[in-house]
Amino acid sequence: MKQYLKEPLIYFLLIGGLFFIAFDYFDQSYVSDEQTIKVDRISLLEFMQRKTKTVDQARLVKAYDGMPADKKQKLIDAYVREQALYRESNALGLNKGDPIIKARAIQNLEFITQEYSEALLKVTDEQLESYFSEHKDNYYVEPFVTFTHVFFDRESNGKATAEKLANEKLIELNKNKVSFSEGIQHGNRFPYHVNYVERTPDFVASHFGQSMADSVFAMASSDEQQWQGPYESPYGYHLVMLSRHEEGRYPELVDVVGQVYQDAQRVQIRENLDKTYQAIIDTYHVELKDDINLNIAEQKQTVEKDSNVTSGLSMNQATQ
Amino acid sequence: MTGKSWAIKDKTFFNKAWFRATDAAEKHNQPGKFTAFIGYEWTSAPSGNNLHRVVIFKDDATKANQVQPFSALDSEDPEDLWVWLDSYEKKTGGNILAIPHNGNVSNGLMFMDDNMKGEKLTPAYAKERARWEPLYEVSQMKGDGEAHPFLSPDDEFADFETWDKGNVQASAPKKNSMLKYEYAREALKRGLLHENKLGTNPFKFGMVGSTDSHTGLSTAEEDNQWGKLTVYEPSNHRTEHPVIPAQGEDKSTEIMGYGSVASGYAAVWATENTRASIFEAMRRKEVYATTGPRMTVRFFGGWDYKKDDVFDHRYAKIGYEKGVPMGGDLTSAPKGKSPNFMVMASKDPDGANLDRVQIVKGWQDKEGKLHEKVYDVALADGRKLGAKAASIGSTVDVKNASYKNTIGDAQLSAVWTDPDFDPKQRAFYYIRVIEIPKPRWTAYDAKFFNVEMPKEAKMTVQDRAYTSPIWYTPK
Repeated sequence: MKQYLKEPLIYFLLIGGLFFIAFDYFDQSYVSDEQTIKVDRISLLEFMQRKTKTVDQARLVKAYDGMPADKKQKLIDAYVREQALYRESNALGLNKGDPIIKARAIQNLEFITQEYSEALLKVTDEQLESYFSEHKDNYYVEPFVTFTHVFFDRESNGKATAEKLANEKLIELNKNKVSFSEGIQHGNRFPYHVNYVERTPDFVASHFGQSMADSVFAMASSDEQQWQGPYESPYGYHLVMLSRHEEGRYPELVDVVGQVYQDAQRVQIRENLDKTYQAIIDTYHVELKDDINLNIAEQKQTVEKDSNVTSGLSMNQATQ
Repeated sequence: MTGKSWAIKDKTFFNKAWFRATDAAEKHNQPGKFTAFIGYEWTSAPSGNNLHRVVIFKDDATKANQVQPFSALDSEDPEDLWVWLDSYEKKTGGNILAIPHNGNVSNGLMFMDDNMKGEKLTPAYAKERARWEPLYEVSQMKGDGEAHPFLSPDDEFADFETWDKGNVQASAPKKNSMLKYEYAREALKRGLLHENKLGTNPFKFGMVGSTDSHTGLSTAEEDNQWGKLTVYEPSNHRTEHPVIPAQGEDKSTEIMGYGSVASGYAAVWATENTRASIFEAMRRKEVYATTGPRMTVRFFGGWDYKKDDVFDHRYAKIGYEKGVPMGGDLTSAPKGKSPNFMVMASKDPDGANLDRVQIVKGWQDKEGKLHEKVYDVALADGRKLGAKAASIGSTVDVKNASYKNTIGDAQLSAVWTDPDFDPKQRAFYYIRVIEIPKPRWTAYDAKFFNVEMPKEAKMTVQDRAYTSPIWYTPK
């Protein structure tokens, strides 16, 4: 059974079957006779649902059943009007070639196909593992750090003073055992954040420059609870207290299984859909005309040449 | 139910699309890390005049899936949209809001004096609009909508990425008389006028930017302009084709590819990276717009900020303690006092330095006349405030699509007191931060693809940020 389900043709037949049902369902009110508009409870409920955009079926049915006669008559009139105008428009061929109707019909088919694809799809454990091992890089967890800093502004203090202030403050902070959260009481205003929580190398480099980011990521966990520095950034000098430093790592499948399942499923759905659409396309014969690769000038030439040939022929005929 | 199983819910085309959209938001929403809102666009454009609104739900799919989006096929009138928004909240107990965009291509419809039925605005209209539309999208790929040089002739920075040739479908040309109903600054001013008459200011909005890109990519910077639609993704010919093609022989309304704007972003001051927290910040208008760079901008208004408050590294705390943040309200001026404002702006960590910070003030005088004035409040490179500031200059090398941060400052801040304050007059104040000149995305394209840009294409840009206003309303 399983391998049959992978056959595009099966999908195609299923879709065909679904259309049959859908056609039967939607058009049951008028398939019997072209000039008869059958109005029944289901067609009115469906019409009402579409007009009021009520999703809750129970509420819709309640509203319908509780509808006074005059309101119901208005509903019937509106439904009949829609059906009559729709059919008349179809009869006049006004639906043909309309780009909106075309796009909408295609989209509808795509939705139905997609829904079938998804309903039939289960990613097996083997598929999951093989997808994961082939796409390990997608799940790489970047290194990150959590730290706070005390900043000394180069612009307002001058470079030498900023560095001197930072060196003095470093001794003071460590001597007084100033904690992570007390750091904010010291130093100058920094353009960005005071605390950096679980931030990656790129992010830290964008706020502090590459060289300081490298220094922070070189700090070891044993440096925690100690003020370190000063480190120089494009803005001045910084004393840093690290609270956490995690190395980058490739996670185990079990840690990211939900995400991997979704990703593997998405790829499989895409592949199945491509096969299904191809199966539909394969039932058509495609004719490629010669002029598709001609530009406008070449096309004109061909037309002129053709007319020359024609006139040449007629000349020949004339001489004969 | 007769015979057949009846499951309209799953069979309607509409729900399939809607559930797919809500599902995508649910799947990618990671509270604390990455917030994805459920939302959709109400794509109203009567006669090609843009009235689009982005509708955003605070809630998850259990609420959002109880309804089907109200679309422009249901009605093109925003008042009908507001009725639907109200019905959503009543039905589900949820929260929802709408953000209009591109008033600049509405040909005078976005901030009209009349409603869509041609009647004068009423107190009810003003209340509903203020309730459902707390924000306005002031910059995006289809042009910037803060100010227009025709409306603000004294503002040397008013002509920024201006799209004023016609409406969004290029089906009707622009007339100067339409402009005052299209641009944010003018609408904020006219809002004061309406508030005076109607009791509510219908145009009391905060300001955000957004890409409006249909590519799924938030790439609004000059050096990563990925285009509005997939067909405008980087290529050696994307600038040659119109983004808004003319409808007929008259090409005067057409906007060519090089006119696309690498803009913008919405910045929100929220306490948590969650739907609830960000939605509440949007509702209280604690937001700002940027035209591409990821600048940091803080703005507070009160009566007692000291000059040094802004240099304290806890300035934000002081900001909240002594006043209100962007989007807030001041009233009842203490006797003899003028409002003062604290502003701090930092450059995009990966971007260009800042040229200047300005406060834009709009007010209504005793005679009911509307005014505006732009004040420089902080200037980079040691330029003095007072007289008209000299230009910051430029380090842009167009040919190589490069610039240097050797001019401008990484950070600018100020505490500023309104020198022309009248406690009896309605007023608003917002911040505009201006970057030093950079190569525009067209310069990056020209260099990368080694192509000539048309003469008309602008090749440099001074990106900026606009904050939500702080309003002063006399008691």
